[in-house]
Amino acid sequence: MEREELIDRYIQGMLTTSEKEDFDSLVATDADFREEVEIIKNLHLVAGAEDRENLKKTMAHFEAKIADKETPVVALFTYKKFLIAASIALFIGIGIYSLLTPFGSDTNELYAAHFEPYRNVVTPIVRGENDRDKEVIAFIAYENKEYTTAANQFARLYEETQKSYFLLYQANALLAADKAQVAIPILEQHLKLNDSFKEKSMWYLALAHLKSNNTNASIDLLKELAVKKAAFKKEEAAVLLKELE
Amino acid sequence: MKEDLLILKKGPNQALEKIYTAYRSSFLQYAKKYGLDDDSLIDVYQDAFIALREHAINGKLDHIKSSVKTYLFSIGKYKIYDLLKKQKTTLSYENNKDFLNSSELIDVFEEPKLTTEQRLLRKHFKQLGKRCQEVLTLFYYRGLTIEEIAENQGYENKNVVKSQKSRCLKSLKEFIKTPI
Repeated sequence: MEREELIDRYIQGMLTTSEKEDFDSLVATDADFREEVEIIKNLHLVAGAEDRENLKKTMAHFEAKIADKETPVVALFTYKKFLIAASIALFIGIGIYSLLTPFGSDTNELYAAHFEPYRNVVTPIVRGENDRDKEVIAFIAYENKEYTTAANQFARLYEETQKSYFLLYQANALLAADKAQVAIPILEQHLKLNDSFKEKSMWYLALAHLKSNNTNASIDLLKELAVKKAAFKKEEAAVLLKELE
Repeated sequence: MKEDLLILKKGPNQALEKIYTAYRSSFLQYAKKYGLDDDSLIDVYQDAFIALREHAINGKLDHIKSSVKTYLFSIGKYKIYDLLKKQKTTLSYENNKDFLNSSELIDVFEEPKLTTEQRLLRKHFKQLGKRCQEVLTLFYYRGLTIEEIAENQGYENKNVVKSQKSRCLKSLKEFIKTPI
């Protein structure tokens, strides 16, 4: 029997008595043979480690395939519920607030009571569409309240695509990150572009001015909003206007 | 179930996709109650899956009374328990009871530490061609017979496999002898 086969049968525990004698005498006398046995023993371990390493890679591949099939959409439903709850709370809050403070108001507090970042209506977060990846990444940051990151990404997206709505979201992210002063010029720029989000920008510019203590500028914008037909936040603008005047 | 076990033991890694995917979603669903995020749970699932296959290869699954799925889940559960302990998370009474009740001896798998010599061998092993690595893995690690390898891997006959294996071993020994 060949040496290789003898070692294989030893590893498999299949040696007959006479084969066992051959094996033992070779181990006792032949250093090369001993070395070969050692290699084969180690090979079991090494090949196992490699096989598991490959399995890990294969599983990562399975996961990628699963992720491709699933297109998890961020739970808009819960988000909507949250918005409804938030606006109810806001109106009750404003009601109580105006009862308690009939004379004058702190602009900062008013800002805090009325500001809520504009929701993502542009890019529903769906994975697996490569051409929109950058946009999705920016909106994920935005929806996860990583506002500074989101603001930078929206700025870059605006530069690359010239899509005006990115300015609105950049400004919103800046407002949420407490950078009203920086948001003002961006909102003004957006207003000039006159897109379908114009009224949203008016509202947020009014809030940005409020936050920066430019109460008069804020009042002018709110007046404009309050008289518009079915404008965004029309009623809330009217409420805020009352509180400011 | 018999078929799953056979694929786990002797099938190529790619053939495990069906089993992997089939149990994955129910595991994630089941493990949700422990409050870990999906990424950690997928890590746990993959670790458990590796352990499952390891035990299948070692013949530990040949005589189990439970299903492969139950076996996989109990390894997963143990790993979650371990993870929660490491994170020093306080377990709810319900969950703690749940862990304690599963008093069956769970054999998790730990990646063995390789000696310097073995690590060197691994390096040489990786220098071999894919076909060589495959034959040696199937024979020395998975424990397939020469006949099974011939059949599964589409070799003409068992003598081709035999000489292929000898040739691969020879190359491996040459790599070992050649100083790096």
